[in-house]
Amino acid sequence: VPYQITATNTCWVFVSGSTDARHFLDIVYGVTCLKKQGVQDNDIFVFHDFDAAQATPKLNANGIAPRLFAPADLAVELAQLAGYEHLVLATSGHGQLEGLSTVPPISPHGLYAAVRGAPVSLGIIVLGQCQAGVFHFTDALTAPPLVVIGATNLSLSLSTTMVGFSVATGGWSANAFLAYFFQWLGAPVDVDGDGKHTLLDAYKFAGVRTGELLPFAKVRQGKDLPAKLQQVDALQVQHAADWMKLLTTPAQNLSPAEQQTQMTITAAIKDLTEAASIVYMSQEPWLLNANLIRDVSFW
Amino acid sequence: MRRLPPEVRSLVEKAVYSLYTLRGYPDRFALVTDKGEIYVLDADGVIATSPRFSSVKEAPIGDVAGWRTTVQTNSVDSYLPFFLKTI
Repeated sequence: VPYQITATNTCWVFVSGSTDARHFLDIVYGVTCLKKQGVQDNDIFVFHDFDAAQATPKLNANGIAPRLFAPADLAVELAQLAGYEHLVLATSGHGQLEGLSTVPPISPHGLYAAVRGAPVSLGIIVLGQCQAGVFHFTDALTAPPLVVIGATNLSLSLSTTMVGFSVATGGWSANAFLAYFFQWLGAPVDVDGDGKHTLLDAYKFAGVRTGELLPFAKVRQGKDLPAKLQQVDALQVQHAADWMKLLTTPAQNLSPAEQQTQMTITAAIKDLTEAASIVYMSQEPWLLNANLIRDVSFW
Repeated sequence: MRRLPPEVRSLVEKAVYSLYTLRGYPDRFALVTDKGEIYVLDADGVIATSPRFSSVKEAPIGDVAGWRTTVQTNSVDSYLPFFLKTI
């Protein structure tokens, strides 16, 4: 096998442009799956925008200690790696037209250049964020070659609560494709029956499982959508006089009573938005460099 | 957390929002939103009059907090975090 990923010969990198706890838990889950296979904390690099004070208790609760960095340091840190044959990079968090919604945003060209700047023989990139297709159709053949997997093309990427998926701090609205991808890494399945656990198996597993989940998530969220919309409408009528003030004033500048109302209103709007985005989304994964993906085996 | 608005509860259960203990304030909890806003709650899930923090960075964030739910659904794992605060 040209490329054999083991617990010790590969650097694992997570990148997330998000301050949402759920996106950090996507990474926490991924790390716990890797550790099941014997990957050490020191070989796991997390570049994230999540608040540091909140990251620590979530890592501690799960007994993991990956190396933490800011997304702006990605290229510099990857260039300094040593002793690895391969690099696997997974993205969570938000995506946008220009690439990853990190601070500052990371463009497709910037991400690929950072990975190719690492002294490795192969770069594997798994893009879980929305609009991952903006990373599609890059030159994947120039050395070091890249294998790129996108959870979705130019549309949204599903995050939802998933039966059987939890970390020590409970369930979360998981990026479905990433969750299944890392579930596969934690317990690989030979999908195509060729006797090997290849990256192609992982791609098919995550893609099919996500596709199966999507209609159920839509039905579940669709059922609740009218009630969530009614709740937002009712709150808007009830607090019409202060609506804009409550939506735009920082919490610390409000009285406790106003904070109570603001907390309820913003949560109702967020809850509605989350549900609506699932109901009206579509998702189709893609891969780049299919010839090479068959030659990447795990564990 | 009996009086925590259901919308907030839903978002905590999805980890869109996070709930933490506050070091030095045994009866208070920090609710942090996806936008980084912080709300200090009492044990009932109602905004507390004190302490007040101007940002998450100023707050003495402790452990992840949560609760045990008795509701089984098709979508949410039955165990949700909360260190020992049964509601």
